[in-house]
Amino acid sequence: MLAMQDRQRVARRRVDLKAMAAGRTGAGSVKRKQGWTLLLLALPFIAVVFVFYYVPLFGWVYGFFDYKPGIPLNRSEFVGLKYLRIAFTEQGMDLARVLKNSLVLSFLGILVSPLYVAFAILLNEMRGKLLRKWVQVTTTLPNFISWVLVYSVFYVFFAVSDGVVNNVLIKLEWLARPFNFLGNSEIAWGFQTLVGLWKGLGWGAIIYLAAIAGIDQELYDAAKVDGAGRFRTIWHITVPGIMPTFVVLLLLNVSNMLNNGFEQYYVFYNALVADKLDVIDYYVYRVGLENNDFSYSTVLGMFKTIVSVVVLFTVNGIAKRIRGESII
Amino acid sequence: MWPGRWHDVLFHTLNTAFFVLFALCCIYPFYYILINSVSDPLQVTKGVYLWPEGFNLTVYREMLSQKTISVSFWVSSARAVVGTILTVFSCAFFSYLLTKKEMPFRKTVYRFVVVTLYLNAGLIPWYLTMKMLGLKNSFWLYILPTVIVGFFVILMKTFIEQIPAALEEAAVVEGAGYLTVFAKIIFPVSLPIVATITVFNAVNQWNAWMDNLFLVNDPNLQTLQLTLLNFLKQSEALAQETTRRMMGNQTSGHLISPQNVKMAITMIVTAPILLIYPFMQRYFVKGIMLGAVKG
Amino acid sequence: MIRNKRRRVAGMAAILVVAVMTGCAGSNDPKPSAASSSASSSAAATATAGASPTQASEKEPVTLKLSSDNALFMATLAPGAQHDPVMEEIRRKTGVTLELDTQTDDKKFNLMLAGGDLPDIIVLQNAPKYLKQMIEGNQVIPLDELIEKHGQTILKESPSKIEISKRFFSNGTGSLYAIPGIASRKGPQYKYGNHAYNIRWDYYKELGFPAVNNLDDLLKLLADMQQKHPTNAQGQKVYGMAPLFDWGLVPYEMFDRLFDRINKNNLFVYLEPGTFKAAGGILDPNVAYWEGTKFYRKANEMGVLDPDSFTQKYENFTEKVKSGRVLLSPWTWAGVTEANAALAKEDPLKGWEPLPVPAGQTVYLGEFGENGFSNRLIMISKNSKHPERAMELIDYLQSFEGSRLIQNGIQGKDWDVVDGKPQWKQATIDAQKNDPNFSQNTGIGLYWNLAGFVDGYPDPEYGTPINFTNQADFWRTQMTELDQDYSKHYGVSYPGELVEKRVEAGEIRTIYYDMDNELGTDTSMPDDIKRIETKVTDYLVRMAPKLIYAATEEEYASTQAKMMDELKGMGAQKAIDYWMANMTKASETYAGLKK
Repeated sequence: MLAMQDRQRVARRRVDLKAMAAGRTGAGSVKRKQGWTLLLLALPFIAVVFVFYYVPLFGWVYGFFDYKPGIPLNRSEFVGLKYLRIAFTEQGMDLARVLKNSLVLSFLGILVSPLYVAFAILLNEMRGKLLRKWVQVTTTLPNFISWVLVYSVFYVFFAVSDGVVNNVLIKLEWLARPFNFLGNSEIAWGFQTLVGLWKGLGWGAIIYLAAIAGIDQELYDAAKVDGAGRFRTIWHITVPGIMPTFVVLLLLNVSNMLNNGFEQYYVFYNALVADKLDVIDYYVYRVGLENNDFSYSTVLGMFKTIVSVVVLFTVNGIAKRIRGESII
Repeated sequence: MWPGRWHDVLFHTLNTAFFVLFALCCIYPFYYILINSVSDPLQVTKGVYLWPEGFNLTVYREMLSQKTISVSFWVSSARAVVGTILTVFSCAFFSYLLTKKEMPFRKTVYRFVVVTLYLNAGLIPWYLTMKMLGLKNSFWLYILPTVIVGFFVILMKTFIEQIPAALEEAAVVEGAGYLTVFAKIIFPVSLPIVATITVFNAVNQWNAWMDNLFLVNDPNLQTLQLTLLNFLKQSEALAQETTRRMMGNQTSGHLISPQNVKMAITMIVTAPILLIYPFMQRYFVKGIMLGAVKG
Repeated sequence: MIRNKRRRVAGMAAILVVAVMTGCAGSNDPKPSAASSSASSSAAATATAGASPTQASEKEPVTLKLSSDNALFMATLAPGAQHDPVMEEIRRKTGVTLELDTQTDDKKFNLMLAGGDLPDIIVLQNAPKYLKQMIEGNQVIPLDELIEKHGQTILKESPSKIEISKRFFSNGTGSLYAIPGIASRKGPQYKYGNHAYNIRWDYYKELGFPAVNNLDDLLKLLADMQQKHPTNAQGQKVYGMAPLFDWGLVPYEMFDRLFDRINKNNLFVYLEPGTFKAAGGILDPNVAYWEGTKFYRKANEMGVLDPDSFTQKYENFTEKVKSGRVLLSPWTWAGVTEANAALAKEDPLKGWEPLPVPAGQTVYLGEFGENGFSNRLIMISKNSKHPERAMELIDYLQSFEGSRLIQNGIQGKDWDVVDGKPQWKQATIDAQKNDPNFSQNTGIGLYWNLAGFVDGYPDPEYGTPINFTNQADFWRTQMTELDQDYSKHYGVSYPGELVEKRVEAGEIRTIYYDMDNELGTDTSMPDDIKRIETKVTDYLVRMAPKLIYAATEEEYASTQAKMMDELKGMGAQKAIDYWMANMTKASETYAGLKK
């Protein structure tokens, strides 16, 4: 009974606000002229975006030539879709493996993304302002440690021979023999996801802390007056409040599934976990750079972008059909 | 919340315990790096876990006595401050404009911005573009390319869209234009997200070095990270001297190992961030909307 | 409150912006070739030109920039102008201030190529990768005329280098584009500690110097040492070996070089010493990769293989050497030198020495090239505003005089001629032992990679090697107690002499690679071969643990068989055929050169 009232109240408030906003959209030409002013004001920013993000895309042309830096393009041989073909035939097996790794790791990342929300929400529930601030700052520390150093530290702790974690676990008799955390291919995906969480949770939760801070305090007061408990408040007010942010970030992450970042997997890569941690970015690095095969790596980069954009608009379209409005 | 209810107490205990544990997991490695960076390398080999052994500041002394270090501190600070101010205001204002439904092509422009998150044509096109724009060896190279960051625009727009229209309404009724509404209402109310992107952008600027490495060789424009990275590469090369065909009997005078250097770099680079960013914390606190609506 | 903060921030920003912009304004001015600092010194030089010793340059000071496609050899130096005595001397002699781009890498080099921004002088290390592009794209200039006018010393002292360059490093144009540096000649070495079985000499002594006649004996030796010393002083476990699998296929190099094969590439095509004829390939079950994995498998079975061998990085390995957690190191620069320095403090007879290789095996001397190395090609870019000065500088650095300076320092300051023989002053010798910043303080050896003649190449003026310390007489006076103990045990006067003795007795052979053999190789590799190689390399690295952790020899054999099929499916044969053809062509060219 109580829950119903809460929900209704919040919903009613939303409708009110929307109505007010709708009422604002007055008639015709004044609005349209103002609209063009807006576009004019936005123009410099649009220009900046165009110049710094879209202009460099001319480089995609390298993927269609046998490009070697130093020799101008007009003297290079045009080869059309040769590299695309190579990617799928010659390198087919490799690409498949690399794609699988990238997708699995991205999927796991998406699976744990609600944890960032939970982190922010529960952190706010913590009592003791000073303690809460301290926790917030310290949990962001791993974000500042470079991946190379992360690996150095992890090596000291997780090594088989005299690694701290193994020593402790054996002493506690939870393990009979040391376990190769860094070299075990079965747990590799899970381990990397946990490592990624450790490094990113505190920092990434900041976005949600800000989103929570932006929720209208009056809603909380109303809920309190209605006698809503902690979890009910969270469920009916906090979560809906941060939902738009979460949904947008989820969409971005899903579209980003081929980009796992390079450094993390570069440092944790070794012969034992190679088949699991070889991601697209590392693969492109090896093939493209070390072999000077620019055209090939350009094609792979193009492929990544196209896939991401297609996924972005597809998921957006699906969301529009389900929720009634698109995300972007 | 009523104190005394047992599941309340349970919740708080578990919640606090979890966070404190996680915070310790986060701070310990950092602490480990700190104490190892001030320990004697020989002791580090043996394993330094709780207290520094053979305390010495050699590596910090060596790094901070580099010729370019003070200039690079200034350069990185400058780009962090100038870049952040420009970026934050630009992204915020641009996002506000994008929330106005009366803008023609609004959706297209927004999508135009969102897609940039997935665009990357590679190093060479980026390099050639920057060169073409005349940004080589220029301080503006550090600022202009990130004036608009797609991710920040997305965050801000999402946030602004949730601000009750009533606030804006009130101002418009009194005859305020877009700029005034932005400056007096939208921006102050968006402080939590503004603080967020401020912190993100400042940290990115502070840590940036790639644009420096590839496009700038003026030592007066060298960033801190690059100075420190150069030092690191030097010390790594010294530790792996395969090219000097000397007798191999001379004392290894490398009192500082590359490990030491890496750790000290983390400390030097993170310290300023940790000093400044708690000031931003208060904007992440609930209740900022309270005054705004009433006002 | 918020507004105040914003004002403060804005104020700070304004100040910073002004400060930096004024700094920028200064730097945006084009750099005049007579930099203000050197203007005064040059004025002084010209003023006293008559009175000063013969060789001070009366030329106008100029600044030239130098870069490479890989930092490797310059990374120990700080970027920019250098200030050590050797560089100062070079500046005095040529009037050139040389600014080094020491933190360059592959990526940066590619960007410079793409943008046409190569600096004055380039030292090209990977010719097959870049030479064609650089010449075809007109990124570098032909040097034929320049060398006639400004490179007389090179023409006189090493005409063969020029001939070879025109023939092999001109992308078929026949013009002179590159000058190959660091010519060297093979000769005796002090210790032969690289690509060797470096072990703890004191532990070996403890066990009574057991004979090691083959690899099984080596494994047994390591097992025995490990048994005697199961933990180090801190209680950490000790393992016989911890191969650097993080470096890909490097741990298998030893199985070529110690077994009469010159290793060439990741496909395990190897060369026969002397003729440099090609053989092998990964599909041959006897090449280094298979031999190596078999060896490591046995080591693992015996418990002497460190379980962290696959997850460790280079710095972890050197730490293990230093703290005594590993008992074998393939190179003296990988932790051994440092470990010896530390151990000597405890007990001068504790330390690492190379175990004499089992009879029948070979000692790898390294790479030598009397006509210079194809991976140190000095070129001048089209962007240079002072190509003549660049040529003069190169002429000096590549000459005997310049090489002598680079290797030994300044005559009168660092070395003297005594009884007709040049030698380092005692002060210099002591400094090398005791001064941790020896290189920076004297400049000796810093620019080794820019010299024309190095190490054992004979100095025509004195008849000694151009690096004056490259002689047995000198070595004998510089031995540590450990080295003396080692030499005494084997009845020689310095550690390296053991190898010479054994070669003479026919017990072992030495092999080396003559860089002239590289001349006949293809100037650039076809892309599809490169792709196959990457694939194969990746595959071999990934599969190594399965071979090494195989429980039995049968398991090993079946895994190997499966791998062979996979490799064939990848096109390994095609790549091997290409390399066989390539290296056969090279060896034929080489034979023609040597006639």
